[in-house]
Amino acid sequence: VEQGVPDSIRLARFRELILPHLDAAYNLARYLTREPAAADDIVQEAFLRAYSRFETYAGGDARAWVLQITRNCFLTWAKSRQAQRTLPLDGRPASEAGIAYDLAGLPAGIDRDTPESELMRRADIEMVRTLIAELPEPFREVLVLREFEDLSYQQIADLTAAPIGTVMSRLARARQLFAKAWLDHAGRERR
Amino acid sequence: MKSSSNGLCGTSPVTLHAFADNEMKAEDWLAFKEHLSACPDCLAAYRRILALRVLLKRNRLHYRAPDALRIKIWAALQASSRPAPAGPDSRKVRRPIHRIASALAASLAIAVTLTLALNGPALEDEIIANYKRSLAVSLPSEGPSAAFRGEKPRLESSLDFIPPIPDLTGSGFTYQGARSDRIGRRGAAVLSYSYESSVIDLFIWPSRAEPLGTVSKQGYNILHWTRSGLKFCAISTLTARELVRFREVFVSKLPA
Repeated sequence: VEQGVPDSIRLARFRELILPHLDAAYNLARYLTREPAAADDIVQEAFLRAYSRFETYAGGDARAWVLQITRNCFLTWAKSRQAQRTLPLDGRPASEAGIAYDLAGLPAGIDRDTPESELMRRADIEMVRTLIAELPEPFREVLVLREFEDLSYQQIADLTAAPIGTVMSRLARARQLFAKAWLDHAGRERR
Repeated sequence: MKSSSNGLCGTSPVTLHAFADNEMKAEDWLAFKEHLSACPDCLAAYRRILALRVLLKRNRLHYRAPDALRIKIWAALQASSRPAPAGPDSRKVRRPIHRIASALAASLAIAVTLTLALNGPALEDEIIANYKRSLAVSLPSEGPSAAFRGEKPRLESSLDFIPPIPDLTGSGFTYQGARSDRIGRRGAAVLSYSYESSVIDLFIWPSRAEPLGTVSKQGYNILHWTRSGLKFCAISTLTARELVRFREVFVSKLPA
């Protein structure tokens, strides 16, 4: 607003560049918070914040830019949430601390259980969403950014303020944890 | 945990993921590709990663923002970018953006008429151009009665879907005719209606894309909605509110 660009043009530019990433922001917020109402609040906050500092958007990947702001809004939310409680959000450690990094490959069977041509039933989709939601936060986050938003390793590193090596091992670990959870679930189903 | 890829050959799983993600440095890529074809363990591990990615990508696990949220955000953005309306409040300092947002959220009904379509600005430009072209040439002169006899079959023969053409008689919206056209490189039906002295063109084509709401562009209002696998896009010089009413009438006359 201060830059002398008329509001209408600024808004039109924002609409064309940033608003198309509303779904991406919502998806990230939804997986991070695991609460629809909180995701709504965070995304709204993020877009208003993004608009108020639209001048700082210096070109580049608009989606990564808005995801970064969304993530910051999430962190603020999580902090205030944690301040209200004595326990961590879900009783799980909020970081990798305490999570063993045995960087093995994915469990065998994941390739047999996912025939390429077969789309999942609605109930399975909800189940997979739940399995992702149950991953500890840094793994959940890296999985969403990579698999759903197709961000590059470097973009994820920038966005999460983590070294690229950390991103890589988190992603390997995230896929491993998810694959194991999926196979456990599939095994229970069959029994 | 069972079955690791790095048992015998010493390849780190991270390397395999980087390869699967196309994130490997160019100079390492070829060498690793050769290794992969020679190492059954790595190949199996690699295939598992691909299978997992297919599982995650092929299914609709991505959450889509609720329409109410889109509407709310767009209304809040519009409110924060236009000067406060004249009145007793207007001399106050700029209100915090959150306050404006929540005030607007309360009047969601109004917001619906402001709303937005989140994608397809290019599409809208195409529709506007198309609409202007059709206004420049004279309107179809067959009138309402011809519509239900001659037009529809002709229209269907040039399209790969059947557009609904409900009879809106008595609503104030008068059917003027239909044509087929191309929007976004595919065939679309265009129904033309008149309302007082304005013309509404309704573009219809099969799509599951779901931008919703109205948008003002180049002096025209465009209203998007979807129904039964068809995308509807109404454009006119009418106000957004009148377009919303047009949609209500149109939808109410469709067979259930």
